[in-house]
Amino acid sequence: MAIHVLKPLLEISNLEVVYHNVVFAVKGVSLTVARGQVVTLFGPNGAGKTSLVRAISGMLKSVDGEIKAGSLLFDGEPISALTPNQIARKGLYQIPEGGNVIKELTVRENLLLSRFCRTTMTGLDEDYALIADRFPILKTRENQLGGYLSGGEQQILSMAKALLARPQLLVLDEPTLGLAPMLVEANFLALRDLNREFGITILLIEQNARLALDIASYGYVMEGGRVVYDGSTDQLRQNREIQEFYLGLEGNEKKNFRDVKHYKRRKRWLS
Amino acid sequence: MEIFVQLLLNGVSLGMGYALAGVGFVLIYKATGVFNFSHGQLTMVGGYFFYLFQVQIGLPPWWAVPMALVSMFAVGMTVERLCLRRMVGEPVIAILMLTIGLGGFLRNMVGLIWGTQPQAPIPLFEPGFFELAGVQVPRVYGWTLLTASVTILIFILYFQKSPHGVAMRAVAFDQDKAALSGISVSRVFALSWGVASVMAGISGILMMQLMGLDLSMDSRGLSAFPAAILGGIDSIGGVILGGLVIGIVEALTGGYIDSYLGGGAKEVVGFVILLLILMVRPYGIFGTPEIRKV
Amino acid sequence: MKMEIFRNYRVSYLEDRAILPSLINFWPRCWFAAAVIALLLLPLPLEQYWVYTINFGLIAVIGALGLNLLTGYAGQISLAHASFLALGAYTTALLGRFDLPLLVVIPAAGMVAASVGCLVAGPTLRLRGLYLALATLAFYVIIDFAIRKADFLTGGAAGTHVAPPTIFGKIVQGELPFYYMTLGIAAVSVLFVKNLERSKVGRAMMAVRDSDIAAEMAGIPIFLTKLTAFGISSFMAGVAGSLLAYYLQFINPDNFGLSVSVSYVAMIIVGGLGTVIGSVLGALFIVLLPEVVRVALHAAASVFPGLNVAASGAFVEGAAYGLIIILFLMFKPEGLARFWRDILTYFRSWPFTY
Repeated sequence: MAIHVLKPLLEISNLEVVYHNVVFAVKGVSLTVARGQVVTLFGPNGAGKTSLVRAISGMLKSVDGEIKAGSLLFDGEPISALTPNQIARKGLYQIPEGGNVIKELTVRENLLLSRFCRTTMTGLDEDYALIADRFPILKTRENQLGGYLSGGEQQILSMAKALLARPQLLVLDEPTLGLAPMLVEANFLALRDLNREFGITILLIEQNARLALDIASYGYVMEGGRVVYDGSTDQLRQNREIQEFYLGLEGNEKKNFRDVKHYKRRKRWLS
Repeated sequence: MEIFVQLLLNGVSLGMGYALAGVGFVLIYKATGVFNFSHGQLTMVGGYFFYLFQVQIGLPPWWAVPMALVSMFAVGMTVERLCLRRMVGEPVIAILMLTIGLGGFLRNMVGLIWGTQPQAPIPLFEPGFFELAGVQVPRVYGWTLLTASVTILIFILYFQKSPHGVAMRAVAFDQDKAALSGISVSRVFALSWGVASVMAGISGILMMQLMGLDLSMDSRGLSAFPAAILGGIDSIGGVILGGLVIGIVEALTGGYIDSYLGGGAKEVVGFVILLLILMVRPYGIFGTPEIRKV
Repeated sequence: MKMEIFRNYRVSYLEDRAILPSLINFWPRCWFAAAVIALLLLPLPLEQYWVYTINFGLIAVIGALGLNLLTGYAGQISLAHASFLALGAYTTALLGRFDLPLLVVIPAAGMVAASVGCLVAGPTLRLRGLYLALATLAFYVIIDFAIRKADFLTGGAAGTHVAPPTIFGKIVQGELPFYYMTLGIAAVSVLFVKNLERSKVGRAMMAVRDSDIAAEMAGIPIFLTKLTAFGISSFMAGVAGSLLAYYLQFINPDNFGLSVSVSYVAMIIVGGLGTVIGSVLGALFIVLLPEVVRVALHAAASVFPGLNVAASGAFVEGAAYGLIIILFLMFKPEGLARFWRDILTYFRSWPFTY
């Protein structure tokens, strides 16, 4: 019986990223995202998640970074040599940390930019109507400068731009950073809709692990430039380390004050 | 009084010419961050191209003008692709020097091809005067003012409203995010240089009508720099205002003060204003201050 | 800016304190002695015209060292260098009327240029990069205007004669004496700048160049540093201008136009910003370049007889000049100093080079 293995949409193999020729940020990371999945990547600050995501979108040059080794395949094609706009046009759309809003342009103008990513202009008007319907706040603030929107509204605008661009893969870098809790929930729901309704594959970098695991089906944990654990959402939820360090579930034993004072991490997965 | 109005009108039309050159210059600065010291030479090349098509080849103005402008567009894009593409990330002074070297190169090529004699172009606008507020004003001033204003207006509309214009502004404001949105930054750079060169070309053709065509045109174009700085080099409205101010002040100085000093003050006064502005408010009247992190 | 040009590898205190650290060892000293002898003997077998040109090159070296101090070490872009040359030259012309010897005139010319230089430092204190370049451009235009207008002092646009230099009552005239005089002053300038670059003052300038706010927070007085940089730089330009005036014997404002400022900036960029060897190599390169182009043109004219060299010669030279600057900046932005360093490294690590 033939087993058909579907080509993964994004395949990263042993990627190494170096900054300024001396700082080793990503030390051989491998990661795959299959079509239609929501995959999440989490880890502490400085783990190399943003560097990885920058490498995916070709944004390393402006921060003096370089892919030293490894391969990046998007839909089977290598993309490590492409410029950011070429990658975006291929269908790999990124919303960087802080959102994708250009502050000096109005909301309407920001949305207008997405047309450069689309493969066809048909259906553009329907999509505009969809945006206005889904995110009414954008319609009311249509002619305001992007910079005057609140953080949550800017993220919503970023997601609307992403939807208009009709990408195959959407990469988000910490979309809920600094947002009020009420907007965080709304953002995540919008994200889930993007995946379920519009079939957009999502790679989500998040620190809010609880919500991330709610919408994701698979997850990777990165620390110190390496992937230290990966598994399905259930596997992640049941792992003790993940529970303690990322989900905030302390377990039931009484904590010794001495343990708290001399904080030592148990890193079972690195043994 | 009559002299004053004459000078004023001269200044206004000259100033609009500076503003036109300045707008192209600001476009390059905003979009690519490059201060193009060769803009005066580009203006001059525009004038000479027009002379080539109009007088030497003998085309009627309806053909000569577009041909000259298309050539300018090509020149601008070629310069960007060949020279400036490689200079991304180099220090400011290197890029400045490159544009200075480019200016010298352009000037010498023009001298090589056309020689040092002043050329006699066929005037575009009918000579003669018209009456305004009881003063005889040369028609050429009026036409220059009109053409320059209309061009600037078209440019502003294009820049603000059209999708390509929005893309150019996106690149000017935030290169990285624009690239992530699918905009080809290198194409925008090339387009900016092309459009700016076209505007320099128009400015050159107009200046030719006002002042004749010879090799000194590039140093007159130097006055566009104080205009741009006065208004703020990242503000298009500012450069228009700056151009008008410099043009008027130059004309008035030329008329009133030069007669006492025997000439020369006209060119200097723009730079005196430049120095004062740099001391008091370096970002110009409408410019945005640069915030530096240590 | 990459400052890899400085090889900061010292193995002894003696080496650390030395002005020319590579001369600690024996063989470099031999090479250096040979170079000195070569320099002293150089003009003897050459034709007058080439000695004439080399003299201009040496004058340019002094000026370029000054500008490199201001722009390469202290980070202040200046387009006004020609004005300081002019001030030195015109001071020389004026003082020459009073029969003062060159040992008085040359330093005086330097001082006049330096005082104006310090004036420039004031208003430009808060300006950086592009805006500073424009401010110096404005100063250039204003000083040029003043020189042309003050014809009772300067002879205006027509120019003025310069009395020949005298030392201990004897007139210095002719290519060879001039060569040795200029060589001596150039050598002193080179040693001076080399010493300055490793001193407290020099390091303060480099700190201001790299990050002036951080430098101020570390206790470096920015205003004094910039003032010193402008002052010393203009002094050297004034000296160079003075020598120029003595050499040309007749000066007018066109000798000190914007293209002169531009060519000095070209010298330090082609040579290498922030290095002494760069100033020397760049100055010689830029001064000799038109000669090389001229020779090449004449050679080409003999091959293609249709070329009208006389009329278009100046333009071809100018175009080639601009083109070479552009090419240098595109392909070798670190300049000739880098080239020199690579060659030295090759020889030092021979036979382990690849």
